[in-house]
Amino acid sequence: MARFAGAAVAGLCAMALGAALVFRGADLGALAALAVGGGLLLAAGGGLAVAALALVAALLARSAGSARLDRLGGLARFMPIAAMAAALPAVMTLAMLPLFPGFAGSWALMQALVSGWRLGGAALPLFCAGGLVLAGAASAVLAAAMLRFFAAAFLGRPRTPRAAGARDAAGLSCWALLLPVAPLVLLGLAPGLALAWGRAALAVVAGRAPVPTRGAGLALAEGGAAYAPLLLAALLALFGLAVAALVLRLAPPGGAGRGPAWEGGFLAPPPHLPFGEPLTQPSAAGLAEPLLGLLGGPAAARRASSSLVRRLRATVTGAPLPSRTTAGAALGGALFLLAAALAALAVAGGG
Amino acid sequence: MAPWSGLLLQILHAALLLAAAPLVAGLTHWVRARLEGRRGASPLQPYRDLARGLRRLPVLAPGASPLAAAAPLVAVGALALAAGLLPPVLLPGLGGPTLLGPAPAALSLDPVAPAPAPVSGDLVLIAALLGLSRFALALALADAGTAAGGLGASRLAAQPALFEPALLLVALCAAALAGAAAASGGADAGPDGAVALGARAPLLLALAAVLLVAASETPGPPVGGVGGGAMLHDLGTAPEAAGMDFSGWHLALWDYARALRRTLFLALLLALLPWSPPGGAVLGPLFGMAGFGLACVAAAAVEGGLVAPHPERVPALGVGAVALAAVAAALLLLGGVAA
Repeated sequence: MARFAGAAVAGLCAMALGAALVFRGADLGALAALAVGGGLLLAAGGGLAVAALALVAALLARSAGSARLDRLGGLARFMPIAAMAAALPAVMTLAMLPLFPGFAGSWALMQALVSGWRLGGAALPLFCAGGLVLAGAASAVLAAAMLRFFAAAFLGRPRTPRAAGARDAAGLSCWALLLPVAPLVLLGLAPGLALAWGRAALAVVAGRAPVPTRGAGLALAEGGAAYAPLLLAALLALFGLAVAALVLRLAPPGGAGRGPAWEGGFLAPPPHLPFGEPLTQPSAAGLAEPLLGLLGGPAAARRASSSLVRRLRATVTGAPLPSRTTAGAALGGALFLLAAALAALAVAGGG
Repeated sequence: MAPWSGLLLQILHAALLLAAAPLVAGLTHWVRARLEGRRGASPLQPYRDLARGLRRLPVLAPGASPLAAAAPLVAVGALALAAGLLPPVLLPGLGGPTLLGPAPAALSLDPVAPAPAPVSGDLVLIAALLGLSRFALALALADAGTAAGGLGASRLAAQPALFEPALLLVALCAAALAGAAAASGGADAGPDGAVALGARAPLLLALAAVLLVAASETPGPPVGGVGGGAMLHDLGTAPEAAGMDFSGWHLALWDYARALRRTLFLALLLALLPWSPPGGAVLGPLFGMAGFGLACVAAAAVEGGLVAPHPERVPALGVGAVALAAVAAALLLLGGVAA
């Protein structure tokens, strides 16, 4: 999971660098700075999030006995620190959701591509539009994959007795878990400060263009768009607290009640299945099914997995590729191809 | 326009959208009932339902996590933020920013510039905030570990793979037109800039794309209400699963979030219209609100006359949306509007 997400984020980074080269070639320094800033934020945020997910996966394998999604489930109750403090921020970063660094990076990349009409001519703006479609689809697929991971591992009911006996991170491993998450949260709330700090790196690609920041947030030179995560987070917290206060005032005292969930008409589980009938809970494969159907169906995924990607992978490592990651690998490959094309065009335009 | 009056206008407009959301849901139900020959509940019924639901405690599944309580707050909060970012389509004529006009002059990279004018036209951020509320709903649906909830959550997560590119392409169209307006008219041009209506014609295709996204993102009420008379395949859709899994003030907030999402899409559609309503500071808001009401009734009427798509067919709508938005973008870019 972490490797697959890492490949997709790397694809987006490559795309950002390619777009930055194109903008630099067209003498649009501010947009080049925005694109390369997005690439840097994606690389930093994605790297930290993938590191956090790898630590979570290692913890799951040790504490819950397995890192296979179909042997986990319901771990948010047994491992609250690992779930809420480590896995959730990493998942939301890789799902490119606002307030997290993944979105700061993809915001910058997408704003740069949205401004692609400034390039003039016909071919380059259309390439930017194509890149925009791919970037949007990639971040949506990433969000679906991250949701599947979090829902299967941490939500619902435990799928095995071993998962129900999982213990949370404690002591040193807890601090190790939080080590990549703390900079992740800071980077998400103040991407502008991070970019100002990395001014020298931006200058390598974008030349003497100004850093696309305003305060701790990001902003476009022209066009009026800005992204101020600190302000957004404050407003979100304010609004959430106001609604919570309203509910506390209106609702009767006492917490939420607990009762059995309606199982969709299935029979009550027999006594030897203390966590309910496993078949009434969606499996990891079932959670992926709607997305695979949308990307061409499981039959298409199976066909693709038996062709190019699997053969490539088999020649490199000698190991067969699980079919589930094929869609992601294909998408990452497409992103790399597009980035390469953009870079080639930049060279042609610059020359 | 001074930055502070612009900010006040945005806040007023967001408050208006937040207050109107239950009315939009009520009007939708009422129009549909009338079309089907029933009397239907009053359009104000969702306000009563909201007030009643907020007074009730929820009942959670035995394995529910703390996310069950936090998710509705995050979802409604994200939608409220998106409402604050939309251009004030309900209050035209007051000098607020528009999606297609030039950007406010106060915006610059200068760090000592005055407080930034309310950002409008940032469709990328609006789409992401809609995505955040969708992600929160999907997490809450998956929380209980039921079959219907899991199916609803995974369907909800898969849809944006096509809808998000469509919305981004629409953002590209709007940005190209706004840029053309700024280039030809400068910052002090009217809200329409100087771009001819004919040049904005491809925007109608983008509008159709957003309409398709809206139609599948904000499904109307199921026939016979939530939980009653639903077809088997409806059980795995988000609204049906939400009706089964949520209760108390959680359900009230989720219903409100659904109505607000519909309201936001209606406002977004109005913002993308290639013309703006006539009238000044007095008539403008009147026209804006009347147009919004008309759009709401028209959407409900059209939806009532159509068969809701099978969940398996929703991707076809997404493909259509991407295709329409791509044609609009290609026409705009190749037509040299922005050149």
